[in-house]
Amino acid sequence: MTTAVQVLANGLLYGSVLSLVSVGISLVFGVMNVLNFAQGAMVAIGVYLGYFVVGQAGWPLIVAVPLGVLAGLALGVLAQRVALYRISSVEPLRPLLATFGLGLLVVGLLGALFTTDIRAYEGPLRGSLNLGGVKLPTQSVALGLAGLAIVGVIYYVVYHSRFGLGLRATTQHREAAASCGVNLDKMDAIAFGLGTAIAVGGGVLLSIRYPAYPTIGDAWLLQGLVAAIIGGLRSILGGVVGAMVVGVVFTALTYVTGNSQVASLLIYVTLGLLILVRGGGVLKQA
Amino acid sequence: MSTHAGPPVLEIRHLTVSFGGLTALADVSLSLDGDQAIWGLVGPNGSGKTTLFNCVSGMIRPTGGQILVNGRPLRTGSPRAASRLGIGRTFQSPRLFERMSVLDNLLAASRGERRPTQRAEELLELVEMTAHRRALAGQLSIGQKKLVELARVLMRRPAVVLLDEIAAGVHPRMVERIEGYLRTLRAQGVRFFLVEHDVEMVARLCERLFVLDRGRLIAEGPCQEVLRDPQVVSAYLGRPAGPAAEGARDAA
Amino acid sequence: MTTIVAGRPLQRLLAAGRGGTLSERTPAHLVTLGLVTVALLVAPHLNVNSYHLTVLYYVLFYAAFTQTWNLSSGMTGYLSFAHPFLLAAGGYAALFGLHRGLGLSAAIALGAGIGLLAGGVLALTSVRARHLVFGFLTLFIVMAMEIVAELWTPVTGGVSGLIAPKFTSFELSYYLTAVALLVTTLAIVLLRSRIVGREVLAIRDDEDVAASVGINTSMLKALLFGAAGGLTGLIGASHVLFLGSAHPNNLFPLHLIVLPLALTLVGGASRVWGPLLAAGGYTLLTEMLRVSAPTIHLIILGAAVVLVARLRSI
Repeated sequence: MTTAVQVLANGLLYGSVLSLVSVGISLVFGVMNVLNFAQGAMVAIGVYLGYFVVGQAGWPLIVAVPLGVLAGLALGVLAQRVALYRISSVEPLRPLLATFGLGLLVVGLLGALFTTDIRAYEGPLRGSLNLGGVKLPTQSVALGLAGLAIVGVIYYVVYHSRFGLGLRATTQHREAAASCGVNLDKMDAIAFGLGTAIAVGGGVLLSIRYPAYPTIGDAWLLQGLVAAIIGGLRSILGGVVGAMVVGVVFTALTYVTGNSQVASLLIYVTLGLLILVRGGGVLKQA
Repeated sequence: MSTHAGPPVLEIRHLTVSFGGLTALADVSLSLDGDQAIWGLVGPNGSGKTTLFNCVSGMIRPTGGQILVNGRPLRTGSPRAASRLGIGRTFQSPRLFERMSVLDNLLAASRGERRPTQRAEELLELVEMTAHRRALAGQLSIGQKKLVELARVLMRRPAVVLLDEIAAGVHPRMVERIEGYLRTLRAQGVRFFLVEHDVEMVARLCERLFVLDRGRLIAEGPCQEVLRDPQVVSAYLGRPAGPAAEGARDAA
Repeated sequence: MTTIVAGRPLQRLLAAGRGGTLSERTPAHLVTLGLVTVALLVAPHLNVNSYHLTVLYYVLFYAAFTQTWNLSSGMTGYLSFAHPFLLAAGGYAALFGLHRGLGLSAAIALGAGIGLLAGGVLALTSVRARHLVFGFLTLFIVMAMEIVAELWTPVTGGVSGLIAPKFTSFELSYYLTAVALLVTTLAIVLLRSRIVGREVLAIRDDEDVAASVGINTSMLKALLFGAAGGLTGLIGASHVLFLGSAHPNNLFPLHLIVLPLALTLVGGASRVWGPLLAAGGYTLLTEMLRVSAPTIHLIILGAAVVLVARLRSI
């Protein structure tokens, strides 16, 4: 029984971290109707940032993570202007490819700048906690809580700010929002900026536990996509729920089969079958 | 009573389409008999006309009912099955293969035709678009696109052509042109089922008219009679209304 | 004679579409194809060093790999990320066959055959899922297949891969790839000159309308993805012989997932020569820039995809 609880707890913690990816994807999809394939690469940027700022320069996380969030916001807005400006509405395939290309470009640049060597550092909060008989690595707990905190901040922004109102309106009905005076370009930039901000900030956080190398974000991207789809692709809450589901399932499968790759494989196959059986509707807005 | 031997060209029995609490079509039955050639389907916006067309052309699967073409039952939900039984259809906003030339658009629909290029050129000549045969379909004007769409649907030699608001968004001279083509084609034995808001056009062309209102068939009969039916008039003008002068106008 | 041999269905499938703008350059294409064939036959025998021959091989490899993608995804508009899956299917199958005692020709044929089956998987997916969803699924398919390749040790050699027994010769791989490239290009030229080519492109432009004018979209998608699968499987068999091994790193690298897509779109999907020229340019460019960064592939391809997405209608 304890093992099951342990697996569940680990799964939820992992899910909290994964929600950084899935919420970013859901946010961008909700507003722009585009799946952000660059999300994984943005997390990788965050991990590198964390390595250099926290690992090498010794700054505390409390400073580094908000720095990452701000950097991500700027980067996201810039990326949206360069790669995605106003092509979202024309044909659905083009912005999808644009984000994919963006992700590749980022991974390539990271490899060019920092080589493909794996860089890691000894993060803080080592050791483990014992919570009611369940042993959890302290870092995992910290990451899980901090991840949820970041998502919480984004939630607050979206549901309790003026920007957020515009974002929600655009998510529900793009054309109607535009005719109410919402500046779609601005919304797109903000949505992409927020999504990237979560990714980079989250990446900084993740650097305490995960090493930095160019393709580290790829697995998270795929799992994040699965999570976002399960969560319905439109709401922050959905993104979190989906991430929890994927987190628990992944952890459980890894435990049962002993191999995280088998777990990934099973998840991909399940997603594929789900989509084939239920039809492509899962990937459309409304 | 049909004096034409054989089954109706198109027969719809108890067609029902509902999704999520909304009923777009409720138990609609109608029959296009072979002794006529041009039928019309009119009704206010939202009455279910396009939904009916979508069912017959296989783009939607109805919730209930049956469709028969020349007596043969149609497998619903498959545009290709509809095409194979002889249904042709044009769209309110013309849907051409935008990245191909006009001629290639027609050739794409020419499978089974013994002399595809010849037939394509004949049809282009009929709608007077021969000069544009090499033009990219995406660059044509709306009116020109409608003509090409008409020619393309005729490549399949359909039993009946569903024309979805062919006069919409097109200036009056083009509407005249189109009417002329329809008359010519009708003389050649082609049959048309029109959805139209342009009531005058309907009055000029159609032999028999069907009226939908809020998903139900509320009137059918010879064109002039139906257009004077008070129920039809009030459906167009909104309730309540008494009998109006001839020529129901769509006030919506 | 053709009627007796090929039968009415095939004859009808291959009906010529004279007059349409797609077919007007067919004679020119065929002539060019002939010239290219001659050039490819001659090239290895010119007095060049082995480095140049290697570059030449890679031009051919990338060009063939891209053109088979063009044949299936470029023509139908069903963009696929799973092209390396077809390559790997052929490569692993061929070496698997060689290890089990098959002769060289049989092993290569096995590669093409398994590639065709793999193409069939994509074909089935394309029947069930439309353009966007299909593309999305292919990403997961290729990632899943990479994991399968790494785990299915009895067949694929797992993480170590399979070594090619001593059959490798530059000429063999070169000519096999050249044949695949020429056959695929010929197929595209022939498609474009016939009604069936317009039907395929109609799928790309508006699949629902294509179906409503009587086009058998499922059959065409199946045919093209199956054919692309077989041809890419052949390329895969040839490639593992060239490399000397079949290994997940060689057959599923990140850049191969997007390479055919990027190069086809840059060169022009459904065009005959554009994608090939793009492949050639790409190979030379990456060769020249190779010293500056090993991840140059990703930068170039990533930038290319972004540019194409921004500028072109897809």
